[in-house]
Amino acid sequence: MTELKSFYDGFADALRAPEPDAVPSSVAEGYAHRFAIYRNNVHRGLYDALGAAYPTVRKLVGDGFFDRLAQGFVQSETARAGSLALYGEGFAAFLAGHPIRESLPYLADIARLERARLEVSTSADAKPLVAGDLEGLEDQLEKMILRAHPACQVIASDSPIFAIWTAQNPVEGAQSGKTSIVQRPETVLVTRPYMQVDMHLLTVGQTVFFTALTQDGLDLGRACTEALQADANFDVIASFAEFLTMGAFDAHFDIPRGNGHDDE
Amino acid sequence: MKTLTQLPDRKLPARELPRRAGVGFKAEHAQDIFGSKPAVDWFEIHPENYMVAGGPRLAMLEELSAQYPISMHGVGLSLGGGEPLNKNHLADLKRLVDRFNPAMVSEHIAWSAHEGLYMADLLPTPMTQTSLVQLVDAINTVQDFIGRRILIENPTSYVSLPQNSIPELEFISEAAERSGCGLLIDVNNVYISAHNLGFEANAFIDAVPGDLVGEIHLAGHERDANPDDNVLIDTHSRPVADPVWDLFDRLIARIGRRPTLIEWDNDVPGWDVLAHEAALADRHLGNAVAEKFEAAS
Repeated sequence: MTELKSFYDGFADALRAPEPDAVPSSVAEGYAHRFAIYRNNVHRGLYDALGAAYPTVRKLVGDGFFDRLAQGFVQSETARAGSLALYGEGFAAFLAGHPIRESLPYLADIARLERARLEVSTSADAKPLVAGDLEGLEDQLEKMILRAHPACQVIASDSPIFAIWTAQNPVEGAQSGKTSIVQRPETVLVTRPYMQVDMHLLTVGQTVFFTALTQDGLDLGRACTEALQADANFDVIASFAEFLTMGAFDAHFDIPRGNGHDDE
Repeated sequence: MKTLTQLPDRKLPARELPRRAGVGFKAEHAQDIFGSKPAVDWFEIHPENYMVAGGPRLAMLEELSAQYPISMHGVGLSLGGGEPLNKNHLADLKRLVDRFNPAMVSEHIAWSAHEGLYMADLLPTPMTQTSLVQLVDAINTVQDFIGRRILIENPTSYVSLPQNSIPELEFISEAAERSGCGLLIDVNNVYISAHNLGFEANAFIDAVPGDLVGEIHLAGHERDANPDDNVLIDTHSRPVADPVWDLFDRLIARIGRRPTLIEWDNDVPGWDVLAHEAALADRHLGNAVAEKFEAAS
């Protein structure tokens, strides 16, 4: 038993060792390059999982440099037992602390956006709130407390992350986006009401409105007031309809005091 | 090639995998598969790719399993790691098995987890009396937990471990006998291991206990770039090599047809290339039946 334990310990240690030619004692001398096949598979597996989760970061820096970033990153984040499906949670934080931020200051935020896309894509399925759910409740809308749909995230950045992401991922058949990217802050709402992940660029008013509703727990009326204070151009009716179309709210909502709450 | 046996009704997944060619499912082929309903009899998936809460990946698997029998071929349980299996991973696997009711569940004789760390590769399990007991325990744990018999796959080997005291075929057969599981024989692995470790592939194939074999895997391999060492690597990145087809023919001529998977995981080609490999495997399976018939008459 102890002999086996030391085999597994030694093999695992050598796989993780920073020296690229580390070999466990269980592998005969002269077979270092064969042990390297396992080491290469382990590392390649992590790099590829990271690349699949962050395809736009990879495009922006190129395959070769992405592998170098991955090489550094895999030292800091170990994989969850058994599956690489959600590997790379800390990659944005890693990039934010990496010297690459000098030349590509938006890279970490692109990674946050891609992570949000992955999490939204794999989170639990739930029904979104649709306009029809509100029929007959028109006079109570102001008091309504809404929750964000579970497959929905807001990513705010000082950089034009929506424009950069879109330029790197042109929609097939659409006119090629040769428009120049304006340096400005952008906030993106990532949604998946059904099976398709969508992204929406939010205005300042929309961001305040959505945050007030889904994070601060304000009712619709007060969220509108906050949004109008932050952004005089905020169009309440059009924006609310847009959020419903995006599938940004959960189908369950509350109307406190009075008529109780929706129990759908 | 499609007249060897009657095709199963695809509306209801079969309880058993058909003894014909199946293909490893890749998301990039989903449109081809769902759009044209190709005449492939079953698909295999890695359950690890579907261990998520919801969304399009699971929806895709829902659609696939509604139309074809599927096999769940695990890569992350670490059966041969000599430590207790990860409870969360087992629970995730059971959830998928319960939801999709696959026609087959299989895993590798390998390890990938060690003291809470996961190394995404199939690492070599030492073959000793002690590790055999540990492996049998692990297989029993899985079979009890998910409530099904599983198949275990023979490994690809690059190095011969000095600890080994039991020959590979004896080790895997004994594990199957003791646990009541079946064997998944990866013929490409047999070829690669025989080449890399220097044993006789034909002798291995001839000694495989046919009654334990529930599935066969075929895949492509590559020669390592290192010029000083003639080592083959299990890349799943190419068509099945001729000597692997020969070993496959040799195996099925003796034990009969089995569900046979074409695996292609790296440098994945267009769907038509995989469909062609599957048709080729079906032809070999058909020939095996024909030869048996001729020999008997």
